[in-house]
Amino acid sequence: MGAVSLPKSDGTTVKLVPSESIVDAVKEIATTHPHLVGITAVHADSNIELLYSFDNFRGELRHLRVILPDKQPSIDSISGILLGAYIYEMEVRDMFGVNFNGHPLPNTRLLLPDSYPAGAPPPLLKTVTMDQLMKLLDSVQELQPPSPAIPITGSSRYSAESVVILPFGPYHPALKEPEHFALALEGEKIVEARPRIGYVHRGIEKLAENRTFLQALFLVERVCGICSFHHSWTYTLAAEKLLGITPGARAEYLRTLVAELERIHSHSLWIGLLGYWAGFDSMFMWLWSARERIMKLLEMIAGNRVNKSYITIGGVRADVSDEKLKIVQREIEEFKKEFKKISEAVMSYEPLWERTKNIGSFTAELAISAGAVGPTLRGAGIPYDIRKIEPYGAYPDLSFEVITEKGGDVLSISTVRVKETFESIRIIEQIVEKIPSGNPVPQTFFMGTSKEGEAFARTEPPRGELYYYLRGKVGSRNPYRVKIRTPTLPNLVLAAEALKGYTLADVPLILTMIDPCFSCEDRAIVYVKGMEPLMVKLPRSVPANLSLGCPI
Amino acid sequence: MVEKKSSLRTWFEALENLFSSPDTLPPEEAEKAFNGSSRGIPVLVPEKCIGCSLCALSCPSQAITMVPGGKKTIGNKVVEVKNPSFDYSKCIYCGLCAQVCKQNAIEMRTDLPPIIIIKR
Repeated sequence: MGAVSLPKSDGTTVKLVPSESIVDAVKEIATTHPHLVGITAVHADSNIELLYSFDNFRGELRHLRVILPDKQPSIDSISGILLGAYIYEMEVRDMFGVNFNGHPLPNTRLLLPDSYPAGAPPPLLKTVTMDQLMKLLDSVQELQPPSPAIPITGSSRYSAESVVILPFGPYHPALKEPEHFALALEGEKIVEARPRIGYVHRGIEKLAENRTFLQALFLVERVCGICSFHHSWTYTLAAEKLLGITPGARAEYLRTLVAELERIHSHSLWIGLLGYWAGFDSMFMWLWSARERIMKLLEMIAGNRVNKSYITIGGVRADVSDEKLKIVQREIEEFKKEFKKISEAVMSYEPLWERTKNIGSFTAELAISAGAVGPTLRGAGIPYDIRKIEPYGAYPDLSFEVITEKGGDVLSISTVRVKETFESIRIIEQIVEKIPSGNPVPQTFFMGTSKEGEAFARTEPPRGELYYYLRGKVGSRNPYRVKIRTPTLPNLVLAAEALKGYTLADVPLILTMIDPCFSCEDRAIVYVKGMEPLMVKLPRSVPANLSLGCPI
Repeated sequence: MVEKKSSLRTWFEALENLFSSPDTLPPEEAEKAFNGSSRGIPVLVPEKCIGCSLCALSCPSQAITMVPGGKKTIGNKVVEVKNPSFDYSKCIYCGLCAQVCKQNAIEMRTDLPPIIIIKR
């Protein structure tokens, strides 16, 4: 193993650990750095490199690297030490075929479809090409019965009389995005919950390896509709670190402006949805109509409401004029008034309060062990905000507070989100006042080749810490590996734990607590047959003298 | 923030909502394909195109293919040029092609009707 060349990491410590002693190494590191950021796997030089990243809630990252052979890779599971690790390990197992000894769910898939042939090579290996992958997914004619998420037979943890395993989802009226929960119910009480995701896989990590750095930027933006800008920003931060490009100060401010507008729209969307789940439909409509103001601002700045395509490597794609900044200032003032009125009315509404207090309670220790991030973790009193501990963009120049609440239940998390919206409004007011002059648009768009090396970046989207890992190979126009760890993945572990002890009627509310974005997590594979033969027709009303350059 | 709401306030809010204008757009506004902020549809200006393929190389959704565009005089030479052809069903309307084009040969037009994609 000494022959393996390790690319330098950027300033943080990477420790090479032999695969046998991973459990001891993690035990040691977890005493000081209890937050597991993610497990990144890379297939390079007939090895599978696993990178375990840990944080101590102050931004001092430490990494452990394990190198496994790509033939029958096997390593001990660390889910006994950190609870949240089990879901990361399942992802690595599905995508790279690494076997984790002692894993609590040894035969269950998380992301790969159940129809994916059992003996087929795992999809993210470099030896598997896109064509092969499509053939593999095409060749399967019949769906296999899904593997049980909660092992009932064999280990017989529950006696059949007292416990009912209830499938919840993937298509369920209480869920807006497809995701399956296996709920073990004793009467009406949940005793165990196991998530199964991957119903909306799009293969973004694999696709990104087949595109140039600039093209992949537009792809990663489509990981999530609500935090689309944060995805493209985090990718850009990692790419800029890898390629050694620095954006201008005005570009940093404009990026921060769009990111904070996105946070406001995401939080008001969520608070509205909370009302919807709790049976308070007027609240849903009030908040969504207030949110429309923010969406219009985003459209004015970026040209698009959802997938903004506003950021680029080295800057942003368009400047925002002073007149537009004045409109932002005016509209945000209006929104502030409106939001203040609604949030006061909503948060003083007693039935909502009663419905959310002490529902889905969890302790700070559990949240840390599950690896929870964002408002979910801050709702349990831990001030973990990447904007503060690892400042990026224009955040070092701006003053804002990290909102925390004691308690750790649906109510405390809702309060965090309401207060955070006001903080975001404060940030935007500062941006409009402080924004420096200059040209934020880069002279040329990056279309060059990569350097050898690896880089990672973290940002704080509305749902919590987002982690991107990029690996570059010298002379290549494409990234060698793009790893995305979205905030919902660790939060989902916490939600599954928080469900225990509550009734079935609380399930939608507790799942909503983490602001789940299941499509974010699903980035593996889906190939839809029959989507290719699309024909484009311009309507007849196109003026006859319009030249389209080519026959269509 | 959390306090009990008086019944007076409830009445006040109900009255306010009764007389305020609706939040939804009027139909004639909602039916418009583009507004002032829209990016538009990429359309080629063939006279300006020199066939450098920069747009096709940068296109994130690989919606641009270069097709023969006939002969053209560039400088004092007559050369065969290729012109970009847009697959509007793949296009994500990001406008990157228009931005990377050094000749400004791609226009993002908002005066066109929306493109309708019909499945064969």
